[in-house]
Amino acid sequence: MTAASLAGFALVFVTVAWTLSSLGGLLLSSVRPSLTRLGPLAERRAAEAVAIVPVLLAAVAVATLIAQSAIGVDHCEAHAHHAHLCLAHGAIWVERAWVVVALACFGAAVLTRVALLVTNGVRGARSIAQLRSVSTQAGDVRVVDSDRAFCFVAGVRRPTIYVSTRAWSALSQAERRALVAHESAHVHQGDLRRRIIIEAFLAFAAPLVGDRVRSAWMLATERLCDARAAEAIGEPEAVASAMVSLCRLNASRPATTFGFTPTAQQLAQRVRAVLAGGPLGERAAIVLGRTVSIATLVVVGAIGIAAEPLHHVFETLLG
Amino acid sequence: MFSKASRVLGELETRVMDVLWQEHPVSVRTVCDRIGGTLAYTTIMTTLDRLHKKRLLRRHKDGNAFLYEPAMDRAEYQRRVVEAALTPLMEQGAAPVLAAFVEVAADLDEANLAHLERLIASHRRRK
Repeated sequence: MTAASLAGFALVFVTVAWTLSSLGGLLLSSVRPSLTRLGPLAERRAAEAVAIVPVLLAAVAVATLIAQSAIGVDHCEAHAHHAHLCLAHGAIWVERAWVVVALACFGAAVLTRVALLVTNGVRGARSIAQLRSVSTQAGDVRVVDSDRAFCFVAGVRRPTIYVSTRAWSALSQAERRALVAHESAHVHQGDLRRRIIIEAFLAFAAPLVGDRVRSAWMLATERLCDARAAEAIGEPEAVASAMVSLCRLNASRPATTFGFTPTAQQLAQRVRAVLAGGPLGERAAIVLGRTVSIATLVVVGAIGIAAEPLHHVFETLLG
Repeated sequence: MFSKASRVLGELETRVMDVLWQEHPVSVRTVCDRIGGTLAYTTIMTTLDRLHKKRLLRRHKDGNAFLYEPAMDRAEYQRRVVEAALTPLMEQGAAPVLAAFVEVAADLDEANLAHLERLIASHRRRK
């Protein structure tokens, strides 16, 4: 067996991962208004499912096909009319230019995304370490002396809340409590760790799907933390007011973003949602999570049972 | 030029800078005396030389010895570190190591903000 003999299996992985993630992305977009009504937890869970399940199923499909070939279930002689998905004769796939181009494009896309993720992560961690060295602890937050208005939680291993002196001094006592409660919710939920896992899976997603899923997940997470902060301090107006106050402070400095720029409509959506105090969507998230888990297990089982016909389907479609 | 190396100081470098921000210009011997402990003269001299190469210290000859003084005060140093750290976070994105409370909306203007503030105020009145 050579690396070239895995080319056909790699093509199956790309086909399944990109097809399912495209379908998942479309489904997420079409049901997002309903998910928003159900609550941010449900919306977040749906985005996580769209990021993770396609890649898992693609990996299971490929592992099944490889296992089938490794234990010698398949019979190569009967397939002289198309490229064969097997470890012994798989090298024939790389003789086809379109396969090489498709795999090169996929590989380049994945490598670029992973490289960007790692670079931003390393660079971000270095910047955070620098900020930490010049910040001072004040209660639950670390205050950074800066005339920019910002507040964020940073650090994967040791999540810490950073707030600038400008933001801190401009906010009322209630707004400060809201801000800390919001960021503490991120810390308790392990959001930064979850985000890394999602980003890792999104590296294999079809083009354009990643942005859609990431945006849905981030907005749902922010709304969830807004709701948790409102619940913790018992004052949703303070959470909404802190958001608007920080935006007002930054309105004259449009460069002050952290790699994700929401629209005014999304900001208004957050303000309205926290004031309305709708459901978090805990029950819906549990139901959704269980449904997706069961459906995934059923599909995994079906792949195992129907490995042989599936093998021929992929050979016929791609070979 | 505020290099990457200048932004992160080691423990001894920080202690040395603390001495110089309080008192300057000073010789290697004076820094040794202020820091105290068992650190060798040559260790302090090397540290001062390294901080000079990082452009955090200036020095001039006084007889056979160098006298050192900070190239910027503590507040200016901290301001530069903060700016140098924030710029890449804001311009290139720090995903996935950071979650901001709120960011400036792309199409945010005074009318949007005023509308949201009225909404919050009316909600407060209804309570």
